[in-house]
Amino acid sequence: MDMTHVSARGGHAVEPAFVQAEELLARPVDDRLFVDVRLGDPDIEYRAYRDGHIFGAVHGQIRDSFAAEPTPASGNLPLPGLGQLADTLRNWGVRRDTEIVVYGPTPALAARGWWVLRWAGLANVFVLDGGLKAWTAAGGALARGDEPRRRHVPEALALVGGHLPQIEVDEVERLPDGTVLVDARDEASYLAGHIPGARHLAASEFWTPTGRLRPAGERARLLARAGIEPGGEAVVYCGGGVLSALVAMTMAEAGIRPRLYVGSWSEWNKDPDRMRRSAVGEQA
Amino acid sequence: MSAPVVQVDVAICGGGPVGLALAYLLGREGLRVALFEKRPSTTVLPKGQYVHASTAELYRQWGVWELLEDKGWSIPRSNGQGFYVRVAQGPVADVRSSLGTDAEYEHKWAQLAPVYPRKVPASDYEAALRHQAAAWQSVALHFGTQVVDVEDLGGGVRLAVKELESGTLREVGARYLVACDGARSFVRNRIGRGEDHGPTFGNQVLAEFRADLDDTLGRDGYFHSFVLDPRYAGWFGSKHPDTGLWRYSFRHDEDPLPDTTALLERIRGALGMPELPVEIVRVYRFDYTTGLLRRWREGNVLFAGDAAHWHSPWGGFGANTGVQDANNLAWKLGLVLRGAAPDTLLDTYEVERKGKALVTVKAATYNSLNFQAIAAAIAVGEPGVSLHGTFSPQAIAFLRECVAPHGDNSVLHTGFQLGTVYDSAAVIRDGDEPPRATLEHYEESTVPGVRAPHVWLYDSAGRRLSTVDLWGTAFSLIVQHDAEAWAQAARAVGRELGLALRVVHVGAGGHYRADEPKFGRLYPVADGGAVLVRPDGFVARRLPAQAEGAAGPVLRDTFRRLLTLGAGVEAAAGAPGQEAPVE
Repeated sequence: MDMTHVSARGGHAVEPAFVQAEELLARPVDDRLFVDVRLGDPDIEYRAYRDGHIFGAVHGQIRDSFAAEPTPASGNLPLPGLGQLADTLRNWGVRRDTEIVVYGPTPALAARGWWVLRWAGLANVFVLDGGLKAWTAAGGALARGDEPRRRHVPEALALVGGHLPQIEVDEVERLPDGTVLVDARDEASYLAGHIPGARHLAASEFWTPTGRLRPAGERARLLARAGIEPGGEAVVYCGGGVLSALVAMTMAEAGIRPRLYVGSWSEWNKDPDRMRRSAVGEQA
Repeated sequence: MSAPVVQVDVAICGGGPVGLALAYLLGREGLRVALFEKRPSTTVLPKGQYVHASTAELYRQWGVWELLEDKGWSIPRSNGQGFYVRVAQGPVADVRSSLGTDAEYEHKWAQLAPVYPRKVPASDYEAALRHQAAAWQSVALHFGTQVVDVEDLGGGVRLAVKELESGTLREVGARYLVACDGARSFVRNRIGRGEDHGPTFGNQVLAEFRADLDDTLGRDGYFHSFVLDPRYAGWFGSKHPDTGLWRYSFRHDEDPLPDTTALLERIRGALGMPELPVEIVRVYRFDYTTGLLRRWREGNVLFAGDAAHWHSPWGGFGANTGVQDANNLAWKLGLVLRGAAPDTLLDTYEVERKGKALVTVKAATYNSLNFQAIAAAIAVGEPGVSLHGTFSPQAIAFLRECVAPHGDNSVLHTGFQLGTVYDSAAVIRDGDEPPRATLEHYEESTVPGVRAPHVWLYDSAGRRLSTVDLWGTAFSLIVQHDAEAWAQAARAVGRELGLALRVVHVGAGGHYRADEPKFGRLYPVADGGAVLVRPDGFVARRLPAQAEGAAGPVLRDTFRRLLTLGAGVEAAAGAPGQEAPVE
């Protein structure tokens, strides 16, 4: 990836977080880790991983790797503890400069992995556009079966959170007027109930039915159509901080400063007071 | 891990047909072999029935075919594939593997191979392979023992194995490990460096059942009988020669297996015999995946059979190509472990076998998808099927057109079975191109790289044997004239390089008399030349007649190239004072 890439908009250095399979294959790196990110039923997902994954990829079930156990008050997928994440990364053989490429059945699942790793301070993290299918089509090597044995890493990384901006529920409850608040879930979920003032922009709009991201220009147009302009700020949420992670990635790339509400609707709806204040139906 | 308890030349992970064939062959080479298989015995699954001619002739060479004489299906009970709407109404189209009488079938194959291809249950041929492999003193077969860890130490491999009944863990050290542990290979998972994948054929169910079908399915005599009625889509396998059970297989996309009532209803529906007494004996569920391992050698670990190339069973390729892998690899391991060849010779294994594996995964994938395409196409616009169990005349005509290109030879795949061609450092080409390889057609030749063709020979006592029976334990130099000069040179070079090289003198005054004109047509040795055949039965080089004293140098040069003895590398067995190398 060309680290000197500079956005045309206002000279913001845009981190090229999406990567093409062809680029990865053309640029072999000794210390590159693929993470096959999954969220469904753990047994079924592991079976799917065993059926075929990128050669060398580890299995990254979000519930175990990129989220903490939910509590009665939290969303479905709260951020993982830093110690827990550091242990996971140590088991995967990750060092500070390891290049990590996340992919999954949808770009949003991969984006959750990307967001958590970047949030924890890892800089060298990318989302593989098109996932396994694109990798296979580009002639990348695959593997079947259990997780490979990873190299031994003597010490866990010292991780510090907060490298990407997030926002907690009490702040979401008191957002100043005019804040751009985006609901990234599907339309039916949005219509059934959303945080007051949220506008709808489904994350799935950003990828094609084959699982490939739409071109960057189209992604920017989708944001513009939702009234989100480069240079601005936004808060984005979804059901549990997965779909919204992709929208946040897309926003960052387009020169918008997103804050991710990780708790999302699954936290918001735990509180009857908040639910009473929720909006239903089309955006006012 | 602590110090290895057992030290062998070659460890084999997996005791299916490929591992057992390899164990037999390495035992024949005199190597110390330990084979580990987690199952308590050879397979009991009703699978893997097609024994190709190329495999059968090796089985004959190994004494395995003899053990299978009374096993398997007769030709009329395993003849091709039939297509039915429902079985009771009789076949609507078919592809036969033999159109004439059994005698005609045998006669056709006797031209090409010393034995003819047959259907034999995997349980029978695995048991026979095990019997032959176990006969070697230096071979230990450990069933009920699972490889639980593997580590390539560079120059050797360390395994941890677990006896499943006792739970005892042991360590095994081996110079080489060959992974023959199937499509879900544990060793590949640990050591392999990437694969390419093809389609998965998932959610297959197979039921073994008892029923009186001798006068229906049995009378028609197909090996596989496809049912096209979409409600019962699937296939019947012919009656098992040992157990007397029939097989019915279909796709089932739900996690729980269908219950007995549903299964009975489905089998009776597919048969079109609603009242038939049927007893379900066993039900299996399985998936077929497709893939090819990119690198078949990682240091001292090699991959063979389904561990290197895996695919659907349609075409009966898996066990056959795997056994050929073993036949290709064994003599090379023998030469390397005895120090007669550097380990670069092992690199020719992947070069030679992967081309075949590529064709195999494609052909098996095509066969599976082609049948799905036919079944889907036939069913379009046919409401009469569910009402009356009949297709339109147009559907039947279309079906017959679809299967017509699959004449008898496309089921038999003479070209696939016998037309394998190798092109590697272990073959010395001479400008002639081998006959173009196709799946269907096989053309005999002795162009270097091909399977040395079968010709019947007669020894001095008048006993008949095949050229193929001669291969196996040595390089063979087929000559007709100047036999003494060739023999002298062969003895000297064999001794010098530490390899088994035997002169086979065919013709007047020789060891054998050959069937003519076939021998003369294929083996160009009438002018004093020679054909050098590798231990695996493939032509290594054709040599023209040599001037006096030239046979030794030309043979020496030949083996330096074939065994990848690069410049400066001397064979370990070479001793000073013998014939000076000519360079």
